[in-house]
Amino acid sequence: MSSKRKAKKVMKLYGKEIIKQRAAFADSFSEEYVPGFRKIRYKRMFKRIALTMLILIMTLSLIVATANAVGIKIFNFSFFETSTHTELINENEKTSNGNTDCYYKPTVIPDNYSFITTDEIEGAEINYIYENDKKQNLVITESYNTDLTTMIDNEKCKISTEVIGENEIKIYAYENGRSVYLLQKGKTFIMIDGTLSETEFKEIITGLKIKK
Amino acid sequence: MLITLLQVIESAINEIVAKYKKMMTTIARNIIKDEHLAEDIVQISFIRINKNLKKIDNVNSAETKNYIITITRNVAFSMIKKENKIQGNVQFIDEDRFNNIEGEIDIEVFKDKYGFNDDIVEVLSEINEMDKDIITLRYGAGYSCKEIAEIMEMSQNAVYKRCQRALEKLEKVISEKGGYIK
Repeated sequence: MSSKRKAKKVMKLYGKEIIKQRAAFADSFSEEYVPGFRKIRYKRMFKRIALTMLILIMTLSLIVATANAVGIKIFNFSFFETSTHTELINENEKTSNGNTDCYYKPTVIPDNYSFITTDEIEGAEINYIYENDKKQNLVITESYNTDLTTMIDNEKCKISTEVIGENEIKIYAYENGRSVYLLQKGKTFIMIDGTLSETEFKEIITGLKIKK
Repeated sequence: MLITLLQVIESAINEIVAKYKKMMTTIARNIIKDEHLAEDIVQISFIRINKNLKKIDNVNSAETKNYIITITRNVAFSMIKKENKIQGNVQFIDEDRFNNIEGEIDIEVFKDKYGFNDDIVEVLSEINEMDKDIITLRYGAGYSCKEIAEIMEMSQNAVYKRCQRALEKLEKVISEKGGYIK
């Protein structure tokens, strides 16, 4: 056998051995590997659900009592801020049929970014994903008529509010240069997430046009 | 028919999420050592898996498990590079931090199993993490260079060169020192 063929054979054995090890690793996360695990899991799940329900009921009653003092209401969304994150809850009136007319198409994107893909849940949400040559992503998320609950990191970030055009914007500027801009146009909630300058964010926002 | 097809695609991705999300989070957390970034890695990995869903025939096969692990690792390594760039660090990735990634091959056991000599083991040990993933996809799972380029989001030429480089090193050791295969 030539050394080239031997080398290929070693590579094949090596590659197959890695696949075997990785498959075994993946299987170690499977429930079937631990007898009785499923039963325990159901018990745990039930306990968790009960606990979550209890916390939810208590939190909701607290919110109802002190809603204006605890939650900050901007646009039609309520912002509940903790030391680590902000939770956004959509309070838009829900309708049974999705209305995609309310989506906005980004018409201005920074030159060094190119369009990668859109990820759409019809009638509920659309994500426009862009990437620059440094493999940094710019993601524009638009949600409409959905049970939106979004979590945004509060850590290592400066939170501010600004008015751009007719839009009130909530800005999360992180220490690493990344920023998240939140705004509402009509009933559409828009989140722009990327490592861009303030001017670039403003240009994207003013360039958002109703999608026909 | 289109609706049925879309339902099949949706059920496949849902099944992947249900089966492998925990594992992917563990891998990402082991590599990046940051809970929030690990979650980001898993999300990005799902977007990439969804984009290349046609490459998955059977959600439960060993090849699929390797494919999902590879994508998660690849996204995590890219994230480390990106984080280093943002922080202005120019140092190379410290390979030691990857020594404890679970599910990886124990090279000594592998050596004994097939009776390879130390020179072959040395070449295999020196293969870096990205090349290891490429070799596994190419020689272990039988993907073409084009398919690997799509999975790893790199050029086909780069994939080919990386495979060739590893193969040539191994070939040189075998021709000079006679690697022994049982």
